[in-house]
Order: sequence, then structure tokens, then C-alpha cells
Amino acid sequence: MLLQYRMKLASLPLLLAAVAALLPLQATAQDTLGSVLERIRVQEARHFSYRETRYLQLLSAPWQATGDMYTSRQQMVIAQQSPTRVMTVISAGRMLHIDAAQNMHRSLKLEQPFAVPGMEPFMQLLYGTTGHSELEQDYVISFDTAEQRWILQLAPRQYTGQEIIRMQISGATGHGPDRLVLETADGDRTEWQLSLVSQGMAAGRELQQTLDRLPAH
Amino acid sequence: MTRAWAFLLVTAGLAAAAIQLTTIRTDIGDFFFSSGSADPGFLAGQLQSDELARRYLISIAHPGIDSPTAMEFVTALQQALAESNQVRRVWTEPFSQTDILQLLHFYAPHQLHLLSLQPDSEVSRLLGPAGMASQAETIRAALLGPDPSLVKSLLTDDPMLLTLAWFTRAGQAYSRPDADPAHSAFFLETQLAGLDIVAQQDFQQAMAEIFGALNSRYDGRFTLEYTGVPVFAVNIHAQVRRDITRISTLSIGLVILLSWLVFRSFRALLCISIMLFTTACIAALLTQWVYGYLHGLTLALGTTLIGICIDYFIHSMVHAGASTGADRVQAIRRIWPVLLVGGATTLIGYTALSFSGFPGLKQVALFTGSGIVAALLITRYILPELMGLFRIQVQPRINLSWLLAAGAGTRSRYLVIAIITGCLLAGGTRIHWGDDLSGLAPSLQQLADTDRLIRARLSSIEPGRFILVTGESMEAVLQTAENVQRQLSRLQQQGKLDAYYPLFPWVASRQLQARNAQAWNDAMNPAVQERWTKTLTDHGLSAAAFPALTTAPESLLKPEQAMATPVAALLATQLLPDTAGTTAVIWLGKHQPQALLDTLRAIPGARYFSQKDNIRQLSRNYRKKAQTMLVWGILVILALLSVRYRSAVDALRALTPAALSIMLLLGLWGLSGAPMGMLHLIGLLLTAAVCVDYGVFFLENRSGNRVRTFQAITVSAITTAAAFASLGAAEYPALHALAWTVAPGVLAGFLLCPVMLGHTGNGESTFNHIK
Repeated sequence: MLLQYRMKLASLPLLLAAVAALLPLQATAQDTLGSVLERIRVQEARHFSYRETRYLQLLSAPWQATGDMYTSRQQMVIAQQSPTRVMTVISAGRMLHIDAAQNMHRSLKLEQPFAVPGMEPFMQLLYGTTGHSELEQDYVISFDTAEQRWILQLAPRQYTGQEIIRMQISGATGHGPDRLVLETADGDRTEWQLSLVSQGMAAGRELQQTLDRLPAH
Repeated sequence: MTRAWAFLLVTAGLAAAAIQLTTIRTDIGDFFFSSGSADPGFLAGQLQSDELARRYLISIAHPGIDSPTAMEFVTALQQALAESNQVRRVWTEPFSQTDILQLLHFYAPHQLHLLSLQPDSEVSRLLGPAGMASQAETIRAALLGPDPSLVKSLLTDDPMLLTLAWFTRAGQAYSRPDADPAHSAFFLETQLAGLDIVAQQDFQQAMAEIFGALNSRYDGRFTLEYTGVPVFAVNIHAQVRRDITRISTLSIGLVILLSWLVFRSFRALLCISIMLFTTACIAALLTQWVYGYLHGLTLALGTTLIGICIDYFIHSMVHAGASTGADRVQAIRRIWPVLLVGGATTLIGYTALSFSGFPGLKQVALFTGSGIVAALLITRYILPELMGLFRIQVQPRINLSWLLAAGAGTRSRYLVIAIITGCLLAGGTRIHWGDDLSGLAPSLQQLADTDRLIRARLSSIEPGRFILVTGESMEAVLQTAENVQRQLSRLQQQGKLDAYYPLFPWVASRQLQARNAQAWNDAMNPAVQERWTKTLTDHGLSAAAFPALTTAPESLLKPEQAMATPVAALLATQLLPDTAGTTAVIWLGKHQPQALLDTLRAIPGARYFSQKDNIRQLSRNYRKKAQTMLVWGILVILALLSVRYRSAVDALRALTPAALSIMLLLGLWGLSGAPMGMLHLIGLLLTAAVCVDYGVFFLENRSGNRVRTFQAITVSAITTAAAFASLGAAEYPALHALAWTVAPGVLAGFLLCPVMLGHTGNGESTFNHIK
């Protein structure tokens, strides 16, 4: 299928996936940014539940969604359960976005493996073979620990309009991230809350069951 | 002797000029299609279309390799190929991510002009309660989807976010077949002209090396396949070259062998070879001068020139026999009139060929016709001195004069006529006329299979069948194309058409854009805005944050503006420049041809075009013309002989061996059940032209020595048959038709001479009244 439209940095479910992949990390006070990111790369299947809240000026009220997300070496799946069922599947070469209620089936051919537009730095951290140094060329990165929590913040060095101006990932000390906040230049904001459900073979089985329920494409 | 030496010098000069100046082309379109009439002209252009001719379809097989690794490999290969300065672009789907973003923003301000092919009903639907609710739901879903930033940026120019759904609908036409996990396929367009054989050959080599280097890093687990016009062009070129080499070598070898067997003289062989070579050089240079190139097939078919021209040389050498000096000149002068008649009848045959309408044969006719004239002049003015220079005194070792006695007699004559007539009656009604030119095209079955497989992985569009839209201007073409698309949508809904590549909505006529804008503006009023505001609010959207609905802007989208966007890559294969203006092509997926034909009949300027059907029709036309030309050719030859012999009956006698030979061939082809096509008819025409020579030589018997004349005809017939039979060794199927028509036809015509034309004594001419 021809891809329908491009995703940018505000590809929220994908960011959610990227952040969720950080969850199992056991951050400590001694962790540096480099050592934390070194362990981010996806090694085994993981299953998370999430809650997303969007604060958009074009919406008359904040919007909330909940669902499950899976990461594995082959793909990333975001299964939104409420308010409607929506699936997003990212493999090395393609991203599918399926909203059955809207009869929407969108497919995006990726120009590089896992290179979801706007998500390249995160996907590179999760699925790439290089470290975070490339990220620092395009983003101002800050990493801090305070009040039993660690906070990672990325801000693009250049703005061209509607994209994200700040992304903040945080988590409890000794745990992976459990919160993500995205802000755009016009004041819109999205927050994510994450929690790990399972990992390893169990998560792999659950991922497969979710894929099996995917409509034929 | 001076003339002979001068001739040798001129031959050397001609050889150098021919090598330097001759350009060989192997594009099959040049040979089969002329640019004279509309469809073949378009077809020729289509086959040579710059965009399509530069394009490769590349497939990488990776069975059993995991998806990320395969993707990594294919991406690396695409990047490596794209870095080549011979590559214009590499792509998998019509638009990259960047292209899509650019197109969404480009088309967003034009949405109201490109609303629909049915403006009134679409505006009513869109601004009705259900339409507004649907659009508000689309906006909400998009805002809550993966890319709200993009949605917000589009709303500025497109407050109802029509662009997203519009782009989705437009993009559906380009859907690919279901993905095959064991293969990845992509397109590559070169900077090189598709028919620049040498450059494309080098590029294919370079591509294989790039792939090989990358594949070695993956333990050679990937396999490369590719297809496209340049692949066929390179392979056809190679095949034609192989055929030229093979046929030339074989025919020259056979002729030399036969000449040796007949004359047992190397000097005679050398003399004949020089004269043949000079003849071929003159023919090549003249053809190059007239056409600007020489087609490979002309050269392949032209090697039969050897078989025809050698007749004049051998016939004259046999008659000059053991003579010396002035006697030799006298001997050739004596037979000169009969050589002229023979040459004229053959020329008539080839001239008739050029009227068959088959463009390639016009060149063959010029090549061979000029060769015949050159050969006759060499025979008359050079041969006697060359024989002196090479000190040639030949006496043919082959002597079939016993046939003169064995075949003579009224009874045997009637018996032969009865057998041949019976054969024609039995087989004539069974002749199956085949008009499939594809059977004559180069036999590249493996390439064709690969091509079909790779295309099936990349597109659901059928190559070779499409709709042609023509008009006096771009506006007229677009209006007609829009009419066609309305009908195609209907056929799609009826299940009679799977898919098609549309022109609308990428480009639209001014008329349609104005109608869309008018329909929208007429409907726009404060009540509509109020209803839209309420609909947005009802769907949980903050109406105050949305831009207000406005009337359509005045400026219309111009085709050239669209051609400056990534859409140009698609439109370049659909909007083709034509001598008469612009031609639009709407490519088709699987469809019911009759339904399309019925639908398009009512739309002036639009035609359903099936490349295969068109070529078959073209072939049928060529064949019918060739049939007519065969009859006319024989009638003109009959008229010429009647004038020469001042008797239609005598002329008919001279034609008898040729006519019976053709009847026999037709009967045998019918009995064999093999289809006959245009090239078989051409073969029959050539057979007639050559066999008439034998009839004339035999009857006129200018030397006054019947045995010697028959000896000369024997040698000529054997060498001619050998030269034509060598065409049977070609890979190119078209040449087989000539081989298996002319070679047996010439032998039959030769053998029929003594039977049908009788024996009137060793020293007599049948036509003593002719001087």
C-alpha cells in the first residue's frame, strides 16, 4: 500500500514505544547518560500497558487513551484499546496504522530500517548499532537525578514550525521510565504513563497473539 | 588491368568508409514500426519513451533471510546504486516520505479546485450534515493519530482537511500486489539513454559488481534479477550480433566451400569474395547515407544478398570459362542482356517488398537493391579484367546436365504440373495465416519470464494495454481524460476493471477546476459556516481554534506546476509529447477489454489500446499488403518479360518454374500445418524473383551452349539456396521464415527449369529473335 502521510517527531504512540523500551532499565545514582543509553537497545520482547493524555488546542477537552505496547527485535506494536481500537505496527521496512472504526489502513514505507520519520534518533537507540553521539548533533540532551527520580530531556537544536520543542522522559530511581511529556511550539502537550506487564518469552507470546488478531493487510 | 587495380583500391577505400561511417542499430521498434500512422507511430514512441526506456525493475531474492537483514541489504544496495553518477533515481513506491509531505502541502491550497469529477454532487455531500460529520470525525481521528503536527499545518490552507482523504484516494491507484517476503523489488532510472547499448551494457556490469561486492559481505545469500527496456535492448543487440556473425560466417563459409567444390580454384574464390565484399560495402554505405543508420536485421537479411549477387558473378565466370582477354569481355557482353533482365526482375521483387509497408523491409529493399545494381555493374565492367588480373580460367566441376535429358518430355511435364497442382489443392486450403508478430520477435523467453515475475512484484498494472487520449491542446486532453475516468470509476464499481493510473486529481482541466470552485462558492454562506462550527463542537473539537471556511481561491492549478513536484515522475509516463500535441496514457490493471471498448466508443479522442492486438493488426495489414505485392510483383515481372520477348506466352514460359515453385511451397506449407506470415510471403516473392532469373537464363541461353548455361544456373542455385538456408541457423525466428521458404523454393525452381522449359538442343536459344 502507498503510504498515506508522514510521521514527525510528534508520532506519539511511537515515542511511547521508544520510552517503554527503556522501562526495564534499572537506573541507579551511578548511572551516566552513556551507560543508561547503552542498555536501551531492544534485546528481548517486552509488553507494557500505557495511558496517554493529549492536551491540544483544537480539542475542546483533553483526550485520553489506554492500551498495550510490545517491543521485540523484529517489530514494535502499539495496540490502543480505548476509546477505540487502533493498531500501529512498525517493522524494519514499514509502518502500518490501522483504525478499523475509521476504516483507516495506512502504510508507510520506511526509507531506512526502523527509521520512522521524526523518530529516527529514538529508533536508532532502540534498534540501531551506534550510540547516542549522533543524537547530540541534533538535540540538546540533559540528564539529571533528583528526589528519587531521574529525568532525561531532549530539545531540538533547530525549529522549523510545528515539531516538538521539548521531550522529557523520567522514572523512579532504580527503575525504568514511567512518564513521558511532549510539548510543541504552539503549546500543545501530550503525556504518557507506562508500566511493564511482562518480558521475555511471555511477552513474545502475547505479541504474537496480538499480531494474529491483526486484520489481513 | 588498370581498371582491376583501380577497383581493388576503391574496394579498400569503401571497406574503410563502411567500417568508419556505418552505425548499426538493433532497436526492434525501428524495424517493425514506422512513425507514419498514428498508432504505430505512438507505439514506436512508446517503445522508445525516454522515461520508460531508462528504467530498470530490480528484484532481490532473499528466501529465509530475516526482514531486518534483508531490509538492511536492500537499503545499502539502493544507496550504493543511487550514488552512481549514471543513476538518476532509485525508488520503491511512487513517493518517498519527503515527497508525500511536499505533495500534501502543495495540493492543500488547491483542494477546492480538485474536489471531484462530479463537483455538484460532491459539494452537496460534503456540506450536508452527514458529510460535515464525516469530515469532523476525520479531523479528530487525524489529530489523535500518529501525526497531529502535520494535521495542524494542513488545516491552515485546508480547513476541512480534505487533502488527507483526497491523497489517500489518489494513492490507492498505485497499490502494489501483496508483498512477497522472499523478494524485495525496486525501480532504478538511469541518466543514460535506454537504447544506448554500450553505456547500458557497462552500467549493467557495474550494477552487478556493486551487488556482488555487497553480497559478498552477506555470504552471497542474496540473488539479483533485473528487467526493463535496457535489458531487452542489450540482449537483443547481443542476439542480433550473434546472428550476424553466425549467418555471415555460415553463408560465406558455405558459398566458399561450394565455390571450391565447383571451381577448385582459390583465385576464383578470392575474386568472388572481393566482388561480394565490394557489393556489400556499397549497399551498406548507400543505406547508411539514406537512413542515417543500418539496422542489424537489414544486415542479417542482407547477407542473402550474397546468395543473389553471387549468381551474376558465377554465371558470368562460368560463361567466360576458359576464355582470355577480349574473348572474356565478349562472353560477358553476350550474356549481359540476360543478366540485366534477371537483375531487373529481382529488383522488381525487392521494390515490391518496400511497398509492403513494413518499415524494416524498405531498408532491406534499398540495401539489397543497391547491392544488385552494384553487382551487375561490377560483373559487366570489372569482372573480365579481374579474371585477367587473377589469371582465372575456370571450368565447373559440377555437371548436372543429365537432368536436361532426364527431365525433358511432355509426359514428365504434365506429371509435375499435376503433382504440384494436387499438392496446392490439398494444402492450399489448409494454409494458416498467422499474424502474431511476437513470434517474429527475438526469442528471449527467459528474459520475458523474468520480466513477468518482477513486474508482478512491483505493479498491478498490465503492461501493453492502456487508454490513449489525444487532443489539440493539454486542456482538451485533460477534459477527455476526465470523461474517461468517470467511466472507469463506473467500470471499477461494476467489477470490470481492477485498477488504473489516473491523471485526475494530480492534474485537472481548467474547466473542471472552475466547476469545482463554482459549486463550492455557490454553496458557501454564513449558514454553512455556522453548521460547520456546530459540527466541530459536536465532535469534541474546539471550533474557535479552527480557521474559517472560505471561498475557493481564484488561481487554478496549472499542469506545469504539478510537473514541478514529485508527481512529475508519475505523469512523465502518462503525459507524452506527441507530434500532434499531447497524448495522455491511462494505464490499466486487469480488465474486461470489451467493456472498455464499449465504454470508450462514446468518448471522442479516447481509444482503448492493446499493444498486442495493435501489433497483430499491424502484422495483418503488412501481410495483406505483402500478398498484394506478391501478385503485383509477379505481374510486373510478367509485363517486363512480355515486353522483352514480345510475347506473353513466352513470358509465361519463363515464369513457369517460379510459379510452380511457389505453388509447391504454398501447398507444402499448408500440408505442414505451420502458420504462414508476412515474412513467408516475402520469401515467396524473393523466390519468384530469383527463379525467374533461372527461367530467363535457361530460355535465352545467350552463350549458345545449353549445358554450360545449365551448369551456371546449377552453381548459382546451389549457392543461393545455401546462403538462404544459412538464415535457418539464426536465433531470430523471423529469419527462419525466409530460410525455409527461399532455400527450397530456389532449388525447386532450378530443378523445374529443365522439366518445364524443355530442351531445344545444345546450341540453341529459345528466343533467337531477341538480341
